[in-house]
Amino acid sequence: MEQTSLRQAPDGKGKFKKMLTTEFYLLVFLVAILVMMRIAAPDFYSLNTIMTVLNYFSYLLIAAIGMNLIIITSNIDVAAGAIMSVVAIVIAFVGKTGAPLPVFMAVGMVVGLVLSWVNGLFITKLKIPAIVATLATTQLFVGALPLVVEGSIYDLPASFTWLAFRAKLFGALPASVVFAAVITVGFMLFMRYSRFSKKLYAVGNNKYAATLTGINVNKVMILAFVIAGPLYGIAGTIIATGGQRVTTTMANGFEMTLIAAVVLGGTSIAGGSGKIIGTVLGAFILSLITPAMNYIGMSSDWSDAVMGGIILLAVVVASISTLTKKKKTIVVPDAVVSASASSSGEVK
Amino acid sequence: MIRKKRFTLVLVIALAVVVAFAFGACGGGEQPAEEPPADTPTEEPPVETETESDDVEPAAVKVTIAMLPKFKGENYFDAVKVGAEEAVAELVGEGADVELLYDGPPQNDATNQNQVNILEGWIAQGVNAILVSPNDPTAIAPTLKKAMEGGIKVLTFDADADPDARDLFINQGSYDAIGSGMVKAVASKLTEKGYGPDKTANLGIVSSAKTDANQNAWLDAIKALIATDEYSWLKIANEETDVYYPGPDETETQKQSGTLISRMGDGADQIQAAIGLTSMATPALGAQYESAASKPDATKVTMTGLATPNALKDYIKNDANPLDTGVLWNCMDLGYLSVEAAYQYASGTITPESTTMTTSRLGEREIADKVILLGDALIFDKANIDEFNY
Repeated sequence: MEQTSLRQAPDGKGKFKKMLTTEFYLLVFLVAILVMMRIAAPDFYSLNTIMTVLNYFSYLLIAAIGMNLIIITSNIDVAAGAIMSVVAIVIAFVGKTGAPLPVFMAVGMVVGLVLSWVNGLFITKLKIPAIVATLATTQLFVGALPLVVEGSIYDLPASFTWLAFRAKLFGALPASVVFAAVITVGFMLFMRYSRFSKKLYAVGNNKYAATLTGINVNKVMILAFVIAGPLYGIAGTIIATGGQRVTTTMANGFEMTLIAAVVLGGTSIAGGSGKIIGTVLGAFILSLITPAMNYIGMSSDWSDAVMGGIILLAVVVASISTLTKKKKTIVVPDAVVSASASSSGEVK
Repeated sequence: MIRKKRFTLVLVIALAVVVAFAFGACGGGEQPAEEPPADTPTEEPPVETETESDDVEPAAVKVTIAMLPKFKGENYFDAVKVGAEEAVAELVGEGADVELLYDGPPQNDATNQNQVNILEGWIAQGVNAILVSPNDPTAIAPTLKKAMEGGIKVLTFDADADPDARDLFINQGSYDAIGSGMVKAVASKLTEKGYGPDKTANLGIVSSAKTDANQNAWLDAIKALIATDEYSWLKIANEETDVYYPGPDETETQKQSGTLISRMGDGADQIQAAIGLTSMATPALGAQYESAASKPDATKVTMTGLATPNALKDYIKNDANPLDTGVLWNCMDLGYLSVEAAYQYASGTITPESTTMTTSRLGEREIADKVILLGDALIFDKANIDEFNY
């Protein structure tokens, strides 16, 4: 939130109005859920429930940050789930030998990087639309897995499940949450201060204008995929190490939850806008829904529908606020915005 | 410029190869499609009718049995395959000429269409018998009927198709048998932990999607059983919240199993026994217990469910983990019985009207209503889990 107000201050409009961002609404919504749970189902605030929610939140968030970078460049990655499934199987092979977490997590990050990089190459070098390219590689990855591994990998050693079963900070907080926190803070700083992040927004806003300002659009797009890859690798590692058995379909379909978290977090699927803090809030809300519904007495069968409703509501609210904003502000040509390369997301 | 074009061309070709590979890998049924029109061959069947008359010396005619699981992979079907291969080895050892074809869709693409593609190929080849575990009992029926019209013996195993689309069904365990296996497993462990008619216990159940027929039938069997006097001290307190439907999704199953575990304990408003109805849910319960930040007292709660022994081994052997038992049918025996039935039917030893069939390994099995029943559920625990390797 702080990041938002800092950036927007120079615009010289009312401070309160500036606070009414997607992130602000999300935060209000999140607090409302948490307060409602406190009143309706106090049992929800047990150590176990909170930690289960946080653990799911951690890997959802780590992967969603990667997805966010890709969506900011106006691309999309529906191969994320498939990449994480491949990561899960590969690290299970490595972990089966008794290798420790740093080793197989590093392997997972490299696998994620390479596969995601391939996606980036298809999209930029061959000009294949991102959705088509990643759909094809999804089929390739999930199709190739059963050829390599027949069935699942079982009986993984304690060193493999150490992260999920034993690695707890203060005896309770899963280490995966610490990973997520470090990565999130790192990326928030990166998006705030690095020059590269401005290029991400510029490319997402208007590729042509970005080219004119001297940005190598293809390079920026590939880098977005290359950065997302290791994040998928870490998320895939957390998912895979959650049990002593790894199947070939560990994270298939998970990309939809990632996209949902990113979109709920206020990132426009058209690219050029979106913040990490929004994704954090989006991912946290999505992580809460199913357990919260269970505690207030609703069948988990409804969770997909409820999540869909929340996302729809968020998108509608965002689109209405964009429409009303556009009426009031003078439209600044995209080229100028990108050239100045500062917080292009909000101006648009 | 030319160089660049050539580079693009190479990339395009590479992509084409990659995509073709990908779809080939997913389809699993590419070759059949390339075969000449997949019309039913009429030459083959008569050959096999002859066998029926001279089943005294089956070695004379080759019997090809084609086995189609719901999907390849998952060691459930791997175990079935091992049993099937053992049956073939046994038959060959007795002098019969049997060949087993085994193919299925990949695990994440277990669709009816993929199964139909594979079947069309086998119908074109003119195999003698087909063993199918259908993903969709109704949608696969026309293809199975086509095979039957072509003189191929059609049997289902593991999951049934529409009854008029197959000659025999090898049922691994009735829904009641499996349901009662799970209730018995839970009841005996809960009794050890101090529950019983004087102290009721709440059940929590992790299913698959709400539309999944098998899981619903098992759930109904469990509900019917805990409504009887013997198990009336087991309760599902609130079906809305105590039965979880995470769907066939690994991360969702893990998350919801975790939520269930945080609701476990010995309080009256808590849950004392968790049952997983899928091979994904049961290991997830074991794993989420291990991951839990503050674990419910293992001496006050118990967990069980459907899964292969290998998927639960570490949790069952670990006394600190309340996943005490697992329930399944003997998968290898299912594969063995299926191939035996297919062979005996194709070679004329049995007909759908027979009332019994005999195998050397399993002895006599009843055939009722064109259904061959494998037998009771297998309950495994710390004492016998090492006997199974699947």
